[in-house]
Amino acid sequence: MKVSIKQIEANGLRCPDTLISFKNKPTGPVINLLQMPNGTGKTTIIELLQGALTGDVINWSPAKIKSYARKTEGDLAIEGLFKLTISIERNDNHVQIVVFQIDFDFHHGKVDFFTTPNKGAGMEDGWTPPKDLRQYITKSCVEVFVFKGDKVKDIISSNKEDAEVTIKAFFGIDSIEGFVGVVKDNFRNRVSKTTVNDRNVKSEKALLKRWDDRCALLKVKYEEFTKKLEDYVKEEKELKDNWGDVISKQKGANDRQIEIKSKIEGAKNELSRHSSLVFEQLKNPFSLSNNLISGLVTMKDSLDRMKLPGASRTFFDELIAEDNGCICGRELDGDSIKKIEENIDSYLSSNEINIINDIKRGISEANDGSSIVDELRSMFDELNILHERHEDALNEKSVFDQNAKRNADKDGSDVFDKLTKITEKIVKARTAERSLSKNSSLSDDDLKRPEKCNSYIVAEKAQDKLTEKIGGMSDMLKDVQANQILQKVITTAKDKALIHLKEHLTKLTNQKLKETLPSGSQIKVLEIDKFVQLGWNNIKQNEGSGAQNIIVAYSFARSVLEEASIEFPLIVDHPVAQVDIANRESLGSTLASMMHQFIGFLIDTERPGFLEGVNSSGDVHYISLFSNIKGNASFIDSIKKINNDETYITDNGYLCYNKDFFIENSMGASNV
Amino acid sequence: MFKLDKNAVKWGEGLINKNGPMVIEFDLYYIFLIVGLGLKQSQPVQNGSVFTKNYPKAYEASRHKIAALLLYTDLKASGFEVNNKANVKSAISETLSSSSYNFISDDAIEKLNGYANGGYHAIKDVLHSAPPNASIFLNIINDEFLPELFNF
Repeated sequence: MKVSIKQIEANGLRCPDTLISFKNKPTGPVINLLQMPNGTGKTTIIELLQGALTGDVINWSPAKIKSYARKTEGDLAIEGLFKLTISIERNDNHVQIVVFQIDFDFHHGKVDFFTTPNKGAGMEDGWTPPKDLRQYITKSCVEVFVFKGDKVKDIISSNKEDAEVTIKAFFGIDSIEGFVGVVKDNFRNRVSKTTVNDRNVKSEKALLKRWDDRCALLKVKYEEFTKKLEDYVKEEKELKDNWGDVISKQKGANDRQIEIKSKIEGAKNELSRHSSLVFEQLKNPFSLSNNLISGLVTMKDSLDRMKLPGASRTFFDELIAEDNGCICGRELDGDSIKKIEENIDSYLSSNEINIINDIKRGISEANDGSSIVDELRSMFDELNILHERHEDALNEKSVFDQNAKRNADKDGSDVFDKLTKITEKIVKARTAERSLSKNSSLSDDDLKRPEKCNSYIVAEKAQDKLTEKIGGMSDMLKDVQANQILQKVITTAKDKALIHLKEHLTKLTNQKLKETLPSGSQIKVLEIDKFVQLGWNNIKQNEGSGAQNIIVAYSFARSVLEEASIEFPLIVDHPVAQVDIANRESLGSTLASMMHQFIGFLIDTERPGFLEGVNSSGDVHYISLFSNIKGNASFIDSIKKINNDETYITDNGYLCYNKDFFIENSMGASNV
Repeated sequence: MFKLDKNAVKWGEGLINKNGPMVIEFDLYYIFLIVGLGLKQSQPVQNGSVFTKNYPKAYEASRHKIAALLLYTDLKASGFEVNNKANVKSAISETLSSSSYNFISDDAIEKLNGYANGGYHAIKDVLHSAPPNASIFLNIINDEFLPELFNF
């Protein structure tokens, strides 16, 4: 199944009224590049596209709905419309056109959602896409091919779980987890209904009640922090964009910022790679000290000199077992056997001798003159240098930020202060969120003290443990066992499926990386777990270059979609913002090989290098969209010279499909 | 069974990160252990939690080396010379276990746990709270502890 975006229509929203057609071909890829000045509503379009496709907009709060209303001279629009048209091509070449329509009532903060499931068919109330498409356009699934914010980093970042969330959503693992929850709830309900009149059971039930309350409280807290974090991250993203705008107004600052960022990333990667090497070397404890090696050599020499009885124990064991008498021909009577048995423990078995031989070999190797101790020391020296380099890069950024703040006006300076504060809040909220969902062990002592528990995961463990205990005490032993077996079967099947999928997707992603990255690139996916772990030669690294990270994230998304036998367009906000100019061209030239339809929301600072690369890659569709305001006078003047067939004017905006206009008129941060 | 004091786990939990260099709880245990052994500092684990029964795969190749370190440190800590045949033999019998995947007996693992706990306390005396990441932690271990280890 191949899904493409055909059209987007918007009216009365925070973007110009418009009807944008995206290009798509039956065969071969098409790149659609859309440029809009900052503040024109790029984020609005992407969020509504997601909200329409997933139907999620139906669940939005009135405040959120109202926030999409156009403001004209202080007045909010009363109503608005967003329409998304997609095409679905199946294996029989039949093309189905589906339209999602959102009618906004801004006055009441409400929406009406309609779906036209087929061309010519009538509109249906609600979100009713074709059944075979539904499972792939849930919120978690759509996030696979809509790249906004820090999505690329979220896939490879060790403190995120985006890769696993994606796999679970696309391949139905979430549903299995839900089923485990149903089995648990069912068992707990049955146990809670037991009417055994025993003091111990009553006391355990009272304890379980305390755990239920604790777990509920911790879950609420966890959800609060998750929600807070979501809001903080959104705010941080906006502030970062605003700070980017502040910087781009300062001469040369943008390039300098990219340069510093790339320096920090480089130093961080190098540090991470080398730290892993140091720790690997440290795992050989003989490399710790020369003094230790000489002590161990003395111990080894003593062992050699002492000629500790080696295979003797085995010899005597066999002698008794075979019962053929002593080697001297004498018969082994009870007393002789007893005497041998009394002393047998003072001899070492051949297996123990093997361990001692391994130890001796290890000591000899450590003492062979190659000086593993010096090697470890010089690796630590190098680590020190890399730490300093990383620290210098961070300091450079700090100085740059302070200078940029000093050179900014009052509003710009405020943006920086707010950004600093929100970053601190994010760190605190993340720590709280982690602690509330920490999976640690639960001892019998811990089980008695629910109020001391600070993780809802541990509280859930306690609930399960107590439920089983109460079940066992209430003559439900068979049910307890059956429940345990059922849960184990489901969980094992789910875990195995997930492991298999992750391994398979690792292979697929690496195949795609090999096809896309320039030959000789030293980066691959080492494994996919919660996140995509990058590295080379089994040495892990936090991330690659900006371009490598993007290619990894796209390749991962393509692999997931390919495995699910479905094709979606790749929709990307700021496709190359994190890529230095030198690498943009090669990334641009490979885009066409990524997906059948690429829709990129581009800003002016991303153009150098990228446009050259994209141009060489094949069929490119250039789209410019801007508001009819004074600030855009130069664009309005220049659009008048364009062929009318390629220009569309509405009450408040201009849409243009002309390539030359796109190339000659750079839109983005500088047009704020 | 390998055990770490709960406070030690809490102290070092931020150092463990899937991205490395310290990836699993045993990595933290190992650093505590080499410091404890190297300083001949052992302290019984009072409030411990078991985190693994056996050496993880990443430490398979180090099993006999850790056994040697324990033998060596224990002999030194007891004040015996490493060339005393009777002492060495009895230490070997107490420490090594050919039937265990870990190459050492359960009692010997308990001893390792004690040294790891001793190492944790020695580190905590210098670093009241853990550094922000494992890379900085390794640097501090190198600066503050490595020159002092196994000077006996």
